Amino acid sequence: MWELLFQPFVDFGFMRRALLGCVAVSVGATPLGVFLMLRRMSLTGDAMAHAILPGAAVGYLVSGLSLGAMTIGGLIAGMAVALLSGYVTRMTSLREDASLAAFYLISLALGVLIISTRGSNVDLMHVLFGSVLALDNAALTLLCVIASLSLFMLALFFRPLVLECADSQFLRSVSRLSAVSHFIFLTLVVMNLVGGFHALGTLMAVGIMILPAAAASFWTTRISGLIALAAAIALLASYSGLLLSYHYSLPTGPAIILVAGAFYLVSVVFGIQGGIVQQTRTVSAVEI
Amino acid sequence: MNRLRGDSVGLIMLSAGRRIAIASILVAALWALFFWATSTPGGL
Repeated sequence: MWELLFQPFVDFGFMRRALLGCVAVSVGATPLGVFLMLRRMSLTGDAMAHAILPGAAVGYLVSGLSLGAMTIGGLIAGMAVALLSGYVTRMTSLREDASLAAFYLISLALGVLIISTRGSNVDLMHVLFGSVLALDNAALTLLCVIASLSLFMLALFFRPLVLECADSQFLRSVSRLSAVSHFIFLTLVVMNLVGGFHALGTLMAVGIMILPAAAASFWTTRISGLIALAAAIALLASYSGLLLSYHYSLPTGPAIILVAGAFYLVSVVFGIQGGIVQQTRTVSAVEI
Repeated sequence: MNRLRGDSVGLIMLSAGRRIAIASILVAALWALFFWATSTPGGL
């Protein structure tokens, strides 16, 4: 049992680094995923994950696979798409989901075009699917700094963020923190996605944010419980995914996300807060 | 959102200082893991 569950992390430095990277992404990004889900912005996270691609691609063009350049490029691109789509929504009759979809699709196409014309397919695969088993000290430091910052900012702005989810009109009427907390929230989402793309890639980074949050929502309706359970599911999925990847030679990012997906599917069926089994029992009880 | 319940015993009732204290503990644990993962020799 020891050899199956713990030996890979004792024996191999790259497994410990991968575990740390996943833990950092789990504790930093998953609480944000809960707020994204509660705000009905789950697909916004997905769109933002794709939107950072051209910035990372330009960073790559300027200085190769440089962590700093790709991170700064990704941050700028992500924030630009968020702000531009918000601007178009306010200034035109287009709704926010449509304008965000338009900008992220343009952004994604631009990113793939830049990487494909100037890089190789290997580079494109690295950006799209990450390289969690090859995280160096700089990447791990970045992930831990982003996770630490996220935790502190969430602790500081927890009440405005919860109120924004529950009743944004009320928050706007009683506090000036509404716009501030919304901007900080979006910044944290982009930062975590940029951090996450180093580990899991742009396509998978949002998975560790949304899937645990969606799974947790089938077990509790208290926000503290949601955050704690979502983080626990993300950690368990990361650990199990790494072990599955190690023992069966599977690609690591997809293995982690698929385990999180398995947690989600089990929760959909057996969850005590609106799961299929519980809903069926309720309907049967009403019919009797 | 209509499923979200009140959080009378949860994080929202804590003061910002206490929430930051909890966050500090989590951050300290994360950085302890960082030093373990990056400094322990062994393997590749």
